[in-house]
Amino acid sequence: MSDVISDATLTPAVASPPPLVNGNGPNHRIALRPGAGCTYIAFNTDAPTAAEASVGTTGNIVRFTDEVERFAYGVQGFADSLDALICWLRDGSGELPMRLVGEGAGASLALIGGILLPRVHFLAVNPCPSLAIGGDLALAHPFWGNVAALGANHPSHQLGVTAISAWDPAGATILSRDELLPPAFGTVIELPCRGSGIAYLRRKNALSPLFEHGSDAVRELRDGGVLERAQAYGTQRQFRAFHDANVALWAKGPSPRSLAMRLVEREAAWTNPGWQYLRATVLRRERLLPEALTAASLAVESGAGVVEFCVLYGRIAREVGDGDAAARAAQVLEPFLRQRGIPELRDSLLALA
Amino acid sequence: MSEPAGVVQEAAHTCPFCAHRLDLDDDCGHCGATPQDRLGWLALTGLRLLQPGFSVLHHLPGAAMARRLYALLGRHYHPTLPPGMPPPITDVTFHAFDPASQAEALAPSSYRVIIIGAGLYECGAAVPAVLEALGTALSPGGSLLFGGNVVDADGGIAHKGLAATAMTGRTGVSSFAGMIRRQFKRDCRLRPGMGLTKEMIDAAAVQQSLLRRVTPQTLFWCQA
Repeated sequence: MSDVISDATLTPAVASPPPLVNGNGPNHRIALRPGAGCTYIAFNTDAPTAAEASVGTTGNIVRFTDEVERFAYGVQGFADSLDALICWLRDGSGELPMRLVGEGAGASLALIGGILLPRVHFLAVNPCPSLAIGGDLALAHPFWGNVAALGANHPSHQLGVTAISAWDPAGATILSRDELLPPAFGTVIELPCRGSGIAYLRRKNALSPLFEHGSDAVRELRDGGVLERAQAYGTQRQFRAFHDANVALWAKGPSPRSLAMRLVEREAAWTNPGWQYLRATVLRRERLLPEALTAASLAVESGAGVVEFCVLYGRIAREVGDGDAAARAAQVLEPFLRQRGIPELRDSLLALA
Repeated sequence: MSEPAGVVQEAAHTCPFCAHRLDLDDDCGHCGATPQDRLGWLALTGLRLLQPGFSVLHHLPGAAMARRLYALLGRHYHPTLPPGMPPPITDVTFHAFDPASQAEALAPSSYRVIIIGAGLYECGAAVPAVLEALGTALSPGGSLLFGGNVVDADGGIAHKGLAATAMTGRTGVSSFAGMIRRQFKRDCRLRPGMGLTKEMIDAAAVQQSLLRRVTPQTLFWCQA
């Protein structure tokens, strides 16, 4: 072979990820288990635990974390690019079927894996557009282009579930967009929670059924009130208002403030507790405290288990000086007394009551 | 705040594979993508040649390109190297392939895209026959993407004439376009257009002054 070809085309060898063997690294952990019938690949989540991976089919657990770069450059210390990581998942992860699970940016990666890889099931919780560029919310990779479009011809591969927290502004961002619900997302469900959807599903003992049965478990979980179909907790227009008002809340200037006020007034009757929490925040900033108290009360009514809702309700009740509201706020704060600052807030409310 | 006098803002070049900064014409220090890799990737995406399920034969790919295409296409991607050449990476399986002697053995209509990184240089006077064999291996509507230099029917390196032809559209006897046209006995289309070519060269971090040289490396022929 001539040197011309070698020099012109072949680059120096790039390090390949290690094979599938037990081992730990700063950003990865591989635990192989005897008799495993599948391999769980977890991105930025503590699920499944060893116990959860033992329900039904026992599975190996491969866990990747990357909170900083969000997998845009692979997994530091394991695979130096997302290309290398996907290549490893194709071959290095063995012959067993894979179950991909991820939250946030990890969920986006699980979805990409669901599109590209054969024989995978996925559980993507609160996927975020962080792998996209330019604010484009489509499921895209900055260097690959629109991955959802790439997978549009492979609906048969989409054996998975995408779960979105309906009380969360990030979830509202996704639910406000039609184009984010193509076949690549599998069965889209809503969770009545704010923040970590994985934690919610774990509290409701729903993780293992979703891992084991995928979308087939959704009907049973819906009947149990654990989750709902897509946009069950609001319309696309309402989720759009949720997203826009949240963006306006954090923007500076009079124009975003007036936009946020218009939106919260327009959708004042929407009972989504995440929305009412945002509404209370906007109204409080405008010093419309009685209206803010009502909104916070509605948030607590449906979302009593969310500490943010309860704290905001308590603070507004204290500012309004309403004794009845203060007493109720002190009561709803009781489950959270071990958290910092909450006993002091509760004491001040009790004094007011 | 304006720039101080005498300070020239250097244009930022980023690798289309990994978004790390790189210098013009250099290999990427992070992912190892060569200018040929970058031009090839931008041609594939710019011309929308990649689709799920498309079989792609890629002779002499660089490491970055091989990883990217294998990640996207999986078993549909067939990277090849000349017999005896060590693979640039170990996480993608390469197959031995000698275009000069094995192109005719490819099953007809078996590939949607065939990319020849630089192997035609080795084929010498056999280029027309190799092109014909590769054309037969393309499925209807398939695409052939060439990189590197090629030789004409007399064994001479044709890159100079190629550049001129691609730039002006002339169809001289010694041109690559003329050779393809004679070989396949049908019209061929030379892509990408100049606008896209300039965009690709910018995005690939290759000097604009090399436009004439690299144009044939992104020469694209689409079967009718």
